[in-house]
Amino acid sequence: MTRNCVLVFVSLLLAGSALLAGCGTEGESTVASVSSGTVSVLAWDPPETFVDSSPLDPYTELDYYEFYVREDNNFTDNDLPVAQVAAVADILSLDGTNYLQNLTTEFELQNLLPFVPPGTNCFLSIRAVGVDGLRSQFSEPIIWHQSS
Amino acid sequence: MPRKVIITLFAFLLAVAATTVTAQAETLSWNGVTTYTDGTSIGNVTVTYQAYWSEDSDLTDLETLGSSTTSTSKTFSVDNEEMPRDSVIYFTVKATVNGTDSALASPLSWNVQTGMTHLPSVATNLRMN
Repeated sequence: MTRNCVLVFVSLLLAGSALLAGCGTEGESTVASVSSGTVSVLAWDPPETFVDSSPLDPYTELDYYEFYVREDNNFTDNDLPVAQVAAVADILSLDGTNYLQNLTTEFELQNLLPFVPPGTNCFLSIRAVGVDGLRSQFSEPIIWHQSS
Repeated sequence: MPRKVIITLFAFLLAVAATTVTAQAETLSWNGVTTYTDGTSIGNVTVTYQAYWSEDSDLTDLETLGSSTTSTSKTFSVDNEEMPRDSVIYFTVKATVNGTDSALASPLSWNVQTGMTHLPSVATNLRMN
């Protein structure tokens, strides 16, 4: 339910065809992988520090997350995100009287389907973007086995 | 007895380094002066220092870096001092003994970073559920 309330901006920032062509077929990495047939969301733990180890409040100091897809796990700063989602979403309280801030920690994989053709394997990674626009490094990528 | 001018040779800037005081703190350090220009020792006389910074290598338009101090270092914040990020600035320092000022120390250039210390750490435990 929370997921349904998350502001999702699936942005067709890239030429989708380029990404579709970029995804591989089988066994390119030892990175842990999961078949898409049994999963529905991409999840993560938000950062709680800056790179200098000072504390980071994800509610107030994170702006959004970016999602990246590649045929290999060599993510670089030249890569462009295929989607993004707000780091914090306002969800309606149970009694419907007010909104509560909720950290975004999941993203529905179906939003990435346009970039991952059936039967191929792609690497997924995300970056956290602070309110000042500075991006984290890429998260440890995982393989997505997109079944036919 | 003629008044002596403080020698400046020992008042050069040593380093600007991040400290652990706060996330945005930097520390400018220098060697304290020990002698007058004629080579005689300053001894135990109190020496105060005033640090400055400038966007110009010729040290025009000096901005004071906090207040004067007897310490040989100065901790500051780029943002509090309104230093221009992603550009080079120049530090200098002046020593004063009994009301007599030294010349400015040779400038130390420093690249004001773009706030990279405020890069968020990476999200962890990326997984599919």
